[in-house]
Amino acid sequence: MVDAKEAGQKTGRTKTLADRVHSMDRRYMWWFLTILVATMLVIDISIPLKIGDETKEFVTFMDSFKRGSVILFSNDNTVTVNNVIGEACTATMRYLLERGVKIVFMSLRQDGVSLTLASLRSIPTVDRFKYGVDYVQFGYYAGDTRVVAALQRDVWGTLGADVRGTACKDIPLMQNIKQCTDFAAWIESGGGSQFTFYINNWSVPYNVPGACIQTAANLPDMTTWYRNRLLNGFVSDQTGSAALSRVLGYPSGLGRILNAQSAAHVLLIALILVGNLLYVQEKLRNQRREK
Amino acid sequence: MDALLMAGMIVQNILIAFSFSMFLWRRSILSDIAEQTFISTSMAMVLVGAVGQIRANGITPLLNGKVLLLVPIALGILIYSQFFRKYAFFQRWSMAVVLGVGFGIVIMTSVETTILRNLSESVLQVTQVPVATAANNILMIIALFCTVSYFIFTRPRTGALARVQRFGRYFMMVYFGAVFGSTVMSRLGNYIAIIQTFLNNLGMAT
Repeated sequence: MVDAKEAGQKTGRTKTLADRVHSMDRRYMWWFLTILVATMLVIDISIPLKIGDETKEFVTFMDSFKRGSVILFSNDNTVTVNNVIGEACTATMRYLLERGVKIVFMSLRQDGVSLTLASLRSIPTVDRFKYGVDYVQFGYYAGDTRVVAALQRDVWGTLGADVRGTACKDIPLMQNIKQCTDFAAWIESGGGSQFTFYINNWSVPYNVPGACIQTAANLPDMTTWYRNRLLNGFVSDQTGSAALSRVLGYPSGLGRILNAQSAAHVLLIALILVGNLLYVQEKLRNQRREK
Repeated sequence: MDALLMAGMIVQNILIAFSFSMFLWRRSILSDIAEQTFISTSMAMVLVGAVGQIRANGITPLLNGKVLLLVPIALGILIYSQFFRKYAFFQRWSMAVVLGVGFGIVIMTSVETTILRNLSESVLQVTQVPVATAANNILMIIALFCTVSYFIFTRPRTGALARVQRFGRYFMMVYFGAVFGSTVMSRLGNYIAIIQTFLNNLGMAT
């Protein structure tokens, strides 16, 4: 960390406000952010939630599945990602199962297997659904786009056996699922670019529609695919997760998180503005000095 | 409350506090413990998952008569040849197959999705649509032309072309800004979720 005095000495001039801010101990900012977030999480302030078109379309997309149709749910969440979009995953699973849609779970990330199980366990009505008939869980498959490509023509051969060791041919739900076109749709959840594997290998060549639940890191990409009609809606980050729970009528634990997120965003915007103002001030000062 | 669950919550909070100590205080043995615990448990999970997958998709079907699986298993084993200098070149065969298949799949599909679809969806309607949509579409078309013009390298960057290219650069900067902003938002989301977990375990923020 550069000391303000040292910064001033290095340039041979008196220390400015910009020098002081630049050399400020960053721990102050971390403490401020942490205390702000913690306060907003403890104090309940209701900030109105806007439900985006893409979330509404995500629900419309789920409503378009016929009762008894089978969809693939690729849960590629990691533990950290699940903290952000786990609620949306659980809400999606619950809504689909309660509507009579059958789900085949698999994962392109190792954490996804246990996280799917945890999500299913947290569904209050899960006992109404029979494993192997209403839903089935396959494990983790390494290989990313290669796995998704292999599923195009040979689902049984690629998936092999479910997490309980039962081969596809012995699972009632899998009897008519031989290739990707036998799925009514795919839904991908994660924090990476896995949803593009399904777009590239299923949606474009075989017209299998899909949607995704992702962190905000992929928002620009998701927006592009959504506008290109290769994604039938998406849920993004905690905001989207809370909006989805609201639309589906499920209780959400994200209200306070959204408040904290809004406060943290305001803080970041303020810091960015301060940084830019100081930069401009410094630039103008240098220009004057040169004249 | 279940004793195991309680113990889990305590351990979770201790590890969160240890890892937060890295940037709220300083790097210390506490933050190192949290870091090493995270790495070691992740590695253990990866190892268990990998062994399970080799058994489920390799060994078991092989023992059931799928002899062709010997090929990918052998290619997998060849990766470990890198530990022996004399035979290290064998690992290239495995990597060639992995990369070759990956590139083949990506190249085959990405032309349609990332080029043709984007191109066809760039043809936007500017008449017989609401004014706001028309204005948005016009802006998109201008942005498209300006941005594409930025990548014209066969003509000198002077005159009208230079001005158009400069606007193209601005549009790209807006996109990069959006990517950066959404990445920050995503990381912040993780940070907030961890703080909420910490507070939840203490019986607050519920």
